[in-house]
Amino acid sequence: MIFDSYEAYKQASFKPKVCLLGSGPAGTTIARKLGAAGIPVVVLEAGSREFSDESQDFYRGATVGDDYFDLDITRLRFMGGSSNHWAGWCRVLDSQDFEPKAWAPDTGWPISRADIEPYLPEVRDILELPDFRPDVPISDDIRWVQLIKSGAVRFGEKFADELDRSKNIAVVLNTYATELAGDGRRVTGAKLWSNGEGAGTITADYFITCTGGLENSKLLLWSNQRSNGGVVPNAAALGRYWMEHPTFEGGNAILTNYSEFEVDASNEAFFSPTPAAMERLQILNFGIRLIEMPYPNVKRLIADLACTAPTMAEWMSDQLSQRLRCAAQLYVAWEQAPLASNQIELSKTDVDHAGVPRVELHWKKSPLERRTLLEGLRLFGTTMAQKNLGRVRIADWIGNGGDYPTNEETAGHHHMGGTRMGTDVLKSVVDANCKVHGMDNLYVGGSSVFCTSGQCNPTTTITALACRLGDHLSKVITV
Amino acid sequence: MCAVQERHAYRVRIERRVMSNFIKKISRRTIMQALIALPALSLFRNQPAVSDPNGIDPDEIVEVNGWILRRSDLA
Ligand SMILES: Cc1cc2nc3c(=O)[nH]c(=O)nc-3n(C[C@H](O)[C@H](O)[C@H](O)COP(=O)(O)OP(=O)(O)OC[C@H]3O[C@@H](n4cnc5c(N)ncnc54)[C@H](O)[C@@H]3O)c2cc1C
Repeated sequence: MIFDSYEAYKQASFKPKVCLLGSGPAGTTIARKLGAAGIPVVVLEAGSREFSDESQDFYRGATVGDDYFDLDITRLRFMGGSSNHWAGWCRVLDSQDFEPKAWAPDTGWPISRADIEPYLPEVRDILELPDFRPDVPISDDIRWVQLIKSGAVRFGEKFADELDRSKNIAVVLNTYATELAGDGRRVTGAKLWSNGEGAGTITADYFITCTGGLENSKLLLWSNQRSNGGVVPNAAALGRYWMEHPTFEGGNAILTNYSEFEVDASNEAFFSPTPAAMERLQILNFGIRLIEMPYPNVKRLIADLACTAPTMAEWMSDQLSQRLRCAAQLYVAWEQAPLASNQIELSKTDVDHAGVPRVELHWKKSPLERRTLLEGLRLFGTTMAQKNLGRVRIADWIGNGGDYPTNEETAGHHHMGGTRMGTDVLKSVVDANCKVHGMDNLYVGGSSVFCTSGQCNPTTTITALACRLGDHLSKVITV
Repeated sequence: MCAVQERHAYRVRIERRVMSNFIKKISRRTIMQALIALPALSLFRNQPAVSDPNGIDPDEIVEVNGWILRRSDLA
């Protein structure tokens, strides 16, 4: 069932066992799992079926530190969430992303990749993905990795009919959960805002917050403040260890034979360091995206090479006259070090229309990441030269230790951490089952539970974790 | 035992003593290194002499002006 307002929902006398907040990839996936298990679940969605400026305005916020996107640009607030404009690039976090890295503090998850692998066939169905293929090492240091460019499932569109037909799922649109109330053991209800005014409180046996990688932290921080610690009793890490995937143009490559790598439909291929190389150099995970280069830029690259290695440049211009595809731009994205100081706070000066403080995001890239960027490109360049697959030029600002460019992509719109998973209550918010430490009935879905970010896009892992949480709750909850 | 057999036995005893003194003098580590080097030595015998008289490896990876190159690219 889908209701367009909380008023309409109330008239239906639906008795939910679970109240789930947010209808993005995480919320929709968990709701479908619970519904299929016969558990009545109400999904409260702050936005409506379509984009609106009024709804989106609730997502405004401020950033302190490094350059970042405006917070109302980097996510969407309507049915289906940010899946309404995601690019559909899919990959699961690597096994080593779940393992602690001795050289990077606060890394490691309380679960391993094997814990989510059983859900990958389901994830492939949901996201409409082809088979996952294992990484292919091209040297001891570099692996050629798969990043699937899928058709970008819009969760709102794909599942609207199914949700509407469901007897166990009630999706309630235009209904903003402004805060949860709790007594330090249980969430007792969620306060609502609908049609421009307060709409009372909803109760249920279980609550799951799936409001996105910035909003989960905000909702819990605000709820905790209002209930004197009654919603997240162990709040030391709440809002902290927030992560993104910084993304920049890292250089260029000349390829001796472009067809060495099986490029995808848009002539792109992806590479990462091997776990052994990361350990040897004590760097984080790193992704290189090789993009075919426009012809005029290739000529400029050859001229640059001619100053350093004339024979090589001559060979290259020969190649260029025979075939146009022989050079590439290298885009890089990397794993951020999880830092407690990268955090979401509640604004002290700015509130939304419902009176809830807006997000203030504190975010900075770290020196370890800077080293990861340089060493990651060096590894790739060295492999290319040693194997005679091509030659790499590292962008000047990276080699010279210059500032990050301000006119580039900046990051991936991937909002991770803030309610991270763990066993230490001082450094995490939820346990291995995504249950908030110390609370009996409060769970979190989405990438805010990520302990580390890896180098790849998060939604495939979000969906796998959502399937896992849905399965877990289907066993825990008795109807 | 005839005189010839006696001389042979004596030589064997002497040789054994000389060998064991030799083995005692050089360290186990040196012997291991020699053993490891043996196959490589035979390999080197079949190889032409190192091409660069200055001992510069043309395949060495160097970083020049941001480019990651083989030394031979710089020719
Ligand atoms: C431009 C762009 C491109 C992207 N490309 C990729 C990509 O290629 N690959 C990839 O893996 N990821 C990509 N992402 C990230 C991806 O969109 C997110 O990881 C994913 O949508 C997160 O799912 P979610 O369900 O956790 O949160 P969201 O999608 O953010 O959904 C949260 C939902 O909760 C609702 N909500 C919020 N607050 C409340 C509240 N208090 N009460 C009730 N409802 C609430 C919102 O309206 C929204 O519908 C991209 C993101 C952007 C912005």
